[in-house]
Amino acid sequence: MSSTTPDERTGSLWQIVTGREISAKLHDKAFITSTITTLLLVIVGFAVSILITGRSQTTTVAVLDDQGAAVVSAAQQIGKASGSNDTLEAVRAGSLEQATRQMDDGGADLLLQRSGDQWRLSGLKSAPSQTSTSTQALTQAVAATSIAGNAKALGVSPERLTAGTTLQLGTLGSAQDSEKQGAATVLGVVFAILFYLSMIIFGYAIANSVVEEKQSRIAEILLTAIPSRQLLLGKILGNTVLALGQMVLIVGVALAGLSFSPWKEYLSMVTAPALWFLVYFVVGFMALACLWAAAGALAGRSEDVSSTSMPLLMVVMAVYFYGMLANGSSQVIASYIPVASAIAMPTRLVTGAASWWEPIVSILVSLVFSAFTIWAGERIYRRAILQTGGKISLKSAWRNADVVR
Amino acid sequence: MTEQQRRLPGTGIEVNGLTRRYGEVLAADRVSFTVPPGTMTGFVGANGAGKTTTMRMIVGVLAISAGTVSFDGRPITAADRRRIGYMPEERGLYPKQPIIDQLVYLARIRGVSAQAAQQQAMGYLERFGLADRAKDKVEKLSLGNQQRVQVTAALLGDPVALILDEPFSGLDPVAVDAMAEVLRRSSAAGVPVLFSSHQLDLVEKLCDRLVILDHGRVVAHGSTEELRGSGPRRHRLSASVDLGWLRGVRGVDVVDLDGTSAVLQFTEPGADQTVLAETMRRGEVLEFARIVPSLSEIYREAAAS
Repeated sequence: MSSTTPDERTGSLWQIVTGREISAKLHDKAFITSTITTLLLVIVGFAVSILITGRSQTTTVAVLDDQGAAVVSAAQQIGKASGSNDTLEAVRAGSLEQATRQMDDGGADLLLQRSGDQWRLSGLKSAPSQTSTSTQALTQAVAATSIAGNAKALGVSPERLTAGTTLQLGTLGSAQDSEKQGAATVLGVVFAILFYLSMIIFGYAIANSVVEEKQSRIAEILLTAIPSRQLLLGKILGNTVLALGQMVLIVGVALAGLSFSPWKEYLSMVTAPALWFLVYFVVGFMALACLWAAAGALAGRSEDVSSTSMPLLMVVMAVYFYGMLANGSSQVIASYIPVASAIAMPTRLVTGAASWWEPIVSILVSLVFSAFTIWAGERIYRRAILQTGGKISLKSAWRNADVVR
Repeated sequence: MTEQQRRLPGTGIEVNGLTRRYGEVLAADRVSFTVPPGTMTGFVGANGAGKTTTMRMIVGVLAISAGTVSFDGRPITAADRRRIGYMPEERGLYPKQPIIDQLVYLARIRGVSAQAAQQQAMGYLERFGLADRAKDKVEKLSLGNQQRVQVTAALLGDPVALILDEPFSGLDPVAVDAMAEVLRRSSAAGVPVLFSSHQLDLVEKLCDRLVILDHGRVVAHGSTEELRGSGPRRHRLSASVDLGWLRGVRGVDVVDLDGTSAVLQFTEPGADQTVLAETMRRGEVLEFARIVPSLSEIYREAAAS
């Protein structure tokens, strides 16, 4: 037997625990698979959206006369002027029957005809969509053509007839502001989903890793050698490192994807908020991690975790919806509420609505809150980890006099 | 080893008035005993007698309601407890982690360097015939082999004492021998060993000392010799002639009589010699021997009283 001189110090034992947590997870096929799947989903998402937006549609419209062909070509001009890549093409048909046949064969998508004073656009089986770009262009072209015809009949110029009839849409701010607002809405949803997924995955991972030790009674062996605080600290740090690592990977891939996508001009706008999101994510994660550990300690078996962690799940869900849906002053409030701020503050940063000091104050609030949850989570953990024999109520765990060293 | 030998002069583990209350119930009631260095102490008692509760209080995972635990003559410290090899009643290992990895982990949190932990763990696995399975996950092992890994976990880091809750349960005879050998080695090296077991024959074979617990109380404790001696001193007598005359002899209590053989208890000094001489006078003495009670008899008697 080799002679060993055991190290009597216990102050840095958490490092060994953290090391085990990370290594166990990195050897866990389920964890690796879920990480790779998420990354692939992000990549595929970008690839698909690039393909869709890059593709242009051609709509063929059957017309019965020159007038119809003129309307279609006017519509094509209008569409092009509004920045659409879609093309509208007219095909001549000798009769209504021929036009129907063409639509049947797929030679035409729509039929534009005039009966009396009324223009009519028909699909083969269903009416054309009102909101499609081709319909809108055709609507405008028909209006312009008819107005021109009517004006001529009345002896006025079409310009005089239509003067002041259009409604212009705009913002009081610059055009960039509306873009920012759009980007903020999208990012709010993205941050909320990322936070939610990660919190659920790693929250359950922490709770399960605690209950695994409790259920298999290895906690009993561990706690003869290591103070419970160190065990808890090591476990939480290990999982935080993993969660952050996964998040950095996802956000990194997403930013890289963005730089290749048609929206690459947004990259500079979202990079800083995305980095802020990572900072908030760590603080928000730490705040809840200790509570997840407590939820694990309250369970007797891994089957109990879903019920002991229900209150926490509710909090995470609430944050998810609040962070996503909040706007205006409720968003300002949300950006200071711990955990919710992880989503609301980065979103506000995108629109530029937050001053430079606001994220710092909000982070400080979160840190204070984390200190409280760590204290409470630790208190429950130390009183519940060795209470074997079924699920323990929060109240009895809180008041339990049996405290593990 | 040198370090363990240095420990010999110590007084081992002393438990004094250890009490554990669960509301109104006393799971352990003023439990006192010692586990001297270099001895193997068996901890016996029915289910629910308080063995596990007492062991958990000694290793510090259960709060003590009253009483003290001393190690080497002074109150036990966290540092002492850290170096106690403990094996809980319900086995605890990470099912999905390779054996060697978790053994090294368990040794490291007890302060052993990673390299030394690896060497020690492999040494024990070789001794238990599990060296080739070091990289297997624990859940892939048979229950007996999991038990060996569990004991290995307790033995790592040259423990200053071993507290093992039912170390032999679920082991096949070969594994029992291997486990007994390991415990003997540790105890021979001066380590106090306390283990609980339901297998009294095994306890009888292995232990120098015995603590019998019943309903949270120590009903008997001491060396096995002392305990055997403390019971009623009975003798078996068998002769070629009828022994009916023994009834009514002064200083002799006839416990059992069946024609030519009897179980006697002498209540006065010298009565044994008188009876022996009288029997020889009447006929031939075929057997005259002191009855040494088996451990299970001692246990039953102690638990019944």
